[in-house]
Amino acid sequence: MDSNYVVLSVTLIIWVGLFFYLFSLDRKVKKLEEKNES
Amino acid sequence: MPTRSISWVSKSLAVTRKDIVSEFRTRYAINAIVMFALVTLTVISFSVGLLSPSKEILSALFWVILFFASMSGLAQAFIKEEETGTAMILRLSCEGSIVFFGKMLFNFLLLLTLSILVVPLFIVFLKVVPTDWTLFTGAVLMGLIGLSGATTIIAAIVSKASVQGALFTVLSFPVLLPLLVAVIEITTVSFTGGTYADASAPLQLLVAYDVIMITLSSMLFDFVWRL
Amino acid sequence: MNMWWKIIIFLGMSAVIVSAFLTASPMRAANSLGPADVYRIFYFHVPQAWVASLAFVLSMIYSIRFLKTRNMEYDTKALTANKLGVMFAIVAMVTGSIFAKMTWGEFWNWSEIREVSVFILLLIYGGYFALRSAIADPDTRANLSAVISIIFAVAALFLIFVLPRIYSVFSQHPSDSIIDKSGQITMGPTVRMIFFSSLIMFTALFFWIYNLSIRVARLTANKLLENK
Repeated sequence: MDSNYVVLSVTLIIWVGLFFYLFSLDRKVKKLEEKNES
Repeated sequence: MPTRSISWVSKSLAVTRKDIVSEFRTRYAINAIVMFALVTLTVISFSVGLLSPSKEILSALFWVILFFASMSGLAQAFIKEEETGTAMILRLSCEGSIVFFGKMLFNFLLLLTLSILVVPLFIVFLKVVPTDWTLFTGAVLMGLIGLSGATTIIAAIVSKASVQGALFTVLSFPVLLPLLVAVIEITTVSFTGGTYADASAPLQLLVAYDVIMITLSSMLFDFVWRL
Repeated sequence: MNMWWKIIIFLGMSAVIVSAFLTASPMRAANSLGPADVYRIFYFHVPQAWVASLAFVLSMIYSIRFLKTRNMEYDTKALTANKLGVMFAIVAMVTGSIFAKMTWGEFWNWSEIREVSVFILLLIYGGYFALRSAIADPDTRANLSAVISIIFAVAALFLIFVLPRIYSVFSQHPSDSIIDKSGQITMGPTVRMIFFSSLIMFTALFFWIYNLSIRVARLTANKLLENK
């Protein structure tokens, strides 16, 4: 059961990293879009 | 209406005839295809001829020869038109579907010539005789129809791009894969002497593939041809 | 997309990951095909494969719409769907290979149609991108790649739906463990709950990335126009 927790934490770390990457990318794109419109 | 369809057929045949005449002058495509087939056939005979491979492997090798040989020559149908600048005149003089079926018929005749040469050599070199000639001939003919139908539009697409030769093979392979699987299966049955019941499922697939691919290609051809 | 969507995706996917590893495995006990825990990959592998095929269908729809309208916007959408499709197809192929290694003992098996079809899918994507890189003019490129992706899609339909019916050897997939012979899904309520939430979360994640990529592509196109 221990190895299960290891895999779980690795997967969670990858997911959180991916999510925050996408999140920051989304904000950057939004800023650029607003700059383009003005 | 009948006069229109008759003129449609005769116009397509005119396109084919034009290609045949220009092919006889240069003999570019037929030389490339036949030499390619002979080289592959020789390599295969040298390497596996002594090992007495099973009939399943031989039928796959037979179609490998035909597939790669056709890849070396069929792309020429449109590349030549674009290079010599005759494509524009052809575009002005008749509808897309006429050009499509004319070119397809030409490619089919090219492949037919090829297989008339390759089949006897294959039988002699690799010592395999189809037990069921009707099934074998049917498989080859249906396979060649599908091959020429699917590759004609790809040749038209490729003629508009750079690095044509490699691209033609890359684009053709995934499209032709269902055809190859079915036709290899039927050829195996005709080599091993199975019954028609063994070949009925791949035969249905083959017929469906031919009909659908030719219909689809002729429908999409205008988008490629009249850019 | 507003803030709430992102929070829902974040929490939902995290919940799926946690529950996939902490609840009982979809396969209750170790069997001849390997330990029970291996089957947890099912929660991730199947949604990835589903998203890859979704991307493929999406790019075909946009290709058809492009040919009808000649609107370059649809070309960008088809291209983006294909790019994401490659990504998810590779991920599905890797997880599938690991799954196959643990259950059948081999990473790769040519008689398994779904492995072969993912491979063919990648070949198709390869052809699509090779064609795009070989054409310089944007209009010609959009037009021809739309035509080829429709032809590819029909060929893929033959491979995925017609071939497996003909060749019975093409079915090693764990059909009896999760989906029984009649195609009925036989899963316990917990397993079903996690599986379908995973499916929804992966689909939502896909559309988020898809939306982002399209906006990035639009910004790049604008930038190029300004520089000209």
